[in-house]
Amino acid sequence: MTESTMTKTPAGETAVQRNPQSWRRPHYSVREESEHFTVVLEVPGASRDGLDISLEKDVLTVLASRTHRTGEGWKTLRREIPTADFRLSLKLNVAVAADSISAALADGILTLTLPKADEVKPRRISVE
Amino acid sequence: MKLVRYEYPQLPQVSDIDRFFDPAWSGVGRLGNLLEDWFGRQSGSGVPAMDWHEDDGHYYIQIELPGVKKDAIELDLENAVLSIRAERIHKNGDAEERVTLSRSVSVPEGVSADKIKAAFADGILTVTLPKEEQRKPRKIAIK
Repeated sequence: MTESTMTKTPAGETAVQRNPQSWRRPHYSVREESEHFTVVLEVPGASRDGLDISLEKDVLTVLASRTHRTGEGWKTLRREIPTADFRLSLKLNVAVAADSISAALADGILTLTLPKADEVKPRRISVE
Repeated sequence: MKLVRYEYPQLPQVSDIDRFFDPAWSGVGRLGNLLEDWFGRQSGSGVPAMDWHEDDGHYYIQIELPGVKKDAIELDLENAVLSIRAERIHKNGDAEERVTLSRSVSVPEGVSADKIKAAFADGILTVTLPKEEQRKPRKIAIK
């Protein structure tokens, strides 16, 4: 519990003031297919503009900020949805083709396609 | 007929206990994540997270429904209980997994039931419940 939390008023909306340091880990799943990996993240409330996907060495980092905000003059009566932005870091233990990573966002689901690097792709060896 | 715990949306604040367990509360955020990791997440069990807001003329409900298509959301109002049901289909190659998310909320008194509206964007459903005219706050002029 931080000092700033303690000093906030008991009113609902101020108690959950956005803290830029806090993150929410999205629910995610990883699936392997023969040519690529698919990572599916649940990021409800995030829109395209708030996405930041980066691959540094072998760490894939996804930031998705919630651009979905409440309206002007709304008073919060009850809050269950965390206000923090989404962040997920995944350490990749296989080589992926960093240049051809693609991402698609629809209805709060972010789908990342990570093509395997050529050296780890399965290959069939023909018998001569 | 469904039995739903009556939550008084008129009450201004969430209780301290609620807030302690609220993953949004900054101090407990990491603990919340840990618990999610161990026990699975709330929406995995089919109960999506929900926020309640109000302004002078409306109540607003926001519900997280990631991965749901707009057509797969059903909203029913019966006996002042608003039921939200949404089906999510995970396509996993040829396999298909269906998850039903549902949540019921008591609609507070003084809401014009026929004017309730809902909008869905970025995986968040926003239901707008307009208050009846006579319930809206108004200034009374002194003559």
